[in-house]
Amino acid sequence: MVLTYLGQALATVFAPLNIVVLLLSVGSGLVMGMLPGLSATMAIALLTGLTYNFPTQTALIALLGIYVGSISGGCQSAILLNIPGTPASASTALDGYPMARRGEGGFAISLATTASMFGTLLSVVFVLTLTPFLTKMALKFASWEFFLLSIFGIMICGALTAQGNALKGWISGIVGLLVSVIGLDTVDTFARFSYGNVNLMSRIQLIPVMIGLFGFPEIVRSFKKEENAELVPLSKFNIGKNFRTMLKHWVAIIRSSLIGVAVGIIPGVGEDTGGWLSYWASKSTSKDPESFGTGNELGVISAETGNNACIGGALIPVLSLAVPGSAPAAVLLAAFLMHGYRPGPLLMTESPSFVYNVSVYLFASSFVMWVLAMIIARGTVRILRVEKKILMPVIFLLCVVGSYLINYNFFDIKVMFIFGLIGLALSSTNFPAAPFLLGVILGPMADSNLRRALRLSDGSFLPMFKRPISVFFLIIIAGMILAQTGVLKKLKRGTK
Amino acid sequence: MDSKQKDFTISLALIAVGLWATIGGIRIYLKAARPPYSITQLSISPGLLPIILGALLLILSTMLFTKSVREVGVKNGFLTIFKWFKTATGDGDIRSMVIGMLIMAVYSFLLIGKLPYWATALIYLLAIMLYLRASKVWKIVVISCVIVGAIILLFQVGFNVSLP
Repeated sequence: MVLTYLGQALATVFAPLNIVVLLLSVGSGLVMGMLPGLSATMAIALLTGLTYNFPTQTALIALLGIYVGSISGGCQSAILLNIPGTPASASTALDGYPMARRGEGGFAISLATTASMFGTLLSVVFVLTLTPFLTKMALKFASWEFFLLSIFGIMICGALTAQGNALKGWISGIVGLLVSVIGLDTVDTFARFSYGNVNLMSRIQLIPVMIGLFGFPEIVRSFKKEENAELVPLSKFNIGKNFRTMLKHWVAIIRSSLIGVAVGIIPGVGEDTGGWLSYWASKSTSKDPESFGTGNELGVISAETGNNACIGGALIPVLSLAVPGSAPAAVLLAAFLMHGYRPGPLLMTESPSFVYNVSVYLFASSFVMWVLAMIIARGTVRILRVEKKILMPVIFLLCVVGSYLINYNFFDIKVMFIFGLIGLALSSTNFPAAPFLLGVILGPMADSNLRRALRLSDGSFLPMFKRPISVFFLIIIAGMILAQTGVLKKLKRGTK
Repeated sequence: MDSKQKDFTISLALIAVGLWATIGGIRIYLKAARPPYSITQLSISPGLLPIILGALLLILSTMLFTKSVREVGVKNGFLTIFKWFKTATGDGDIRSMVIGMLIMAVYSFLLIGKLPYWATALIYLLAIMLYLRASKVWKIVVISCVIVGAIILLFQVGFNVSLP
């Protein structure tokens, strides 16, 4: 059966229309990822709106293609400009830029691209093996577990993305949850915070929120007067040397892939963390750690393998638990829902071929990404010279179109603008946007499961403390609160 | 504004949001207790989650506020906000961002839906690029026309969808 699904998915990819869509989406992803300010999340959010009328499989191919392309494309500006195109490529710049400065820009880009491909390919293996396992496990989840899982997801995302101030991450998540309760509630159809507005009653749409949160702040920031950074010339790619180098570092590639997948599985923690952790692991296990940061090829390979392996990792909880592993995966979750799929424990029963489709599309995207990046990189890096003040107003036009096409509703454009302002306020005050988004996505799951559980228990919270999986989540949540608020440290000092 | 001052300012806004959510949640609970819903028990009321979230936001924002007040002080905190507004009006970057956002807001809230798509998009692109002095005037006109044409060609002709 599995082979049949994989075969069908392959046949779908090779349909002429889908090949064109794959090439275009991966190519657009590479360009968007390369341009500083246009993140993978923004790219997927934009495309989600634009693919609304596509056939479902074609839309999935387009979305996964742009995901792989944008995460991989970020390395080009990181290496040639020392400005990461996406946060995921921040760690690539550490060694990529020094390599480019000494005339190995092309070699560094080819290494980064090949490492990206291997990272994604290896992560697909985990999507195929871990997703069915996690899905089976999730079948044991009832309302209390789903409620606690969503709270756990928001809390861990808040703690890990807030750069040392978990309080800000948690506040961001709570505000996101509050946004999700606007509209008719799913249990009693009671209108909450709607003030008689029909558009608010039908709940805030996810895609305009995402486009606003992640796209708008970057557009507005591009209006500042900034000097363009110097672009280092691109040297030869040298594919033979590239593969020999990759072979030499195969242990680091596997280690970085494992780290990337593990980081990806953690809710809300994205590709940037995967890249940094993989880079750090390679540096700390290297015999020559001092060479990292001065143009060590292993630094580039580890960072890019790690951040791309997060793609598959982040999709595993999306498919099995409907909990996104990263911000781009959160947008993908919304896109899956929009295209009629219901990720979660019942996915393998309701749409058994879906996991295999996603895996094959990821696999194909990573190959196409490598080929395209190698062929068109010389041309696409010229885009880095395009004035941001021309590019970003055009991006806003696409944001408007993307928000509108979801429901053909002008209200969604206004929602996008308002959440854009919120996103700008969040980023200007160092509040992470990822927990906010996760709150908006997981809010309905948290709300409906909490209330369903309380109805079944006649309003009592006691059953939550009697179920083993619930208790497990409660312990982790309590531990996280104690650790992040410094109570654990104080307790340790007290016992000494 | 330094990060503590930013925390001071934003935490005040968040406290207000927390209060609004808590009060809103209580009002939902009271409304749901009346017919036709008649849900009198708080734990199963649609107001439960908003009350919990509002209260949590209130607590966490107050913690953030208290932390920032220790470093900036209440009086100094408010004074810095007013000073910042004064200096911000003279800052070229902030002015560019605010006027850019205003042009985007006019496009999103006032123009869209009132005129055909090609006209609104063209007005917006010309206005914002001319304001930002993105390039020479003739280049801006050509770029705007090409972009709007490409979007219409791709979406209206290619994907057969109607544009706002």
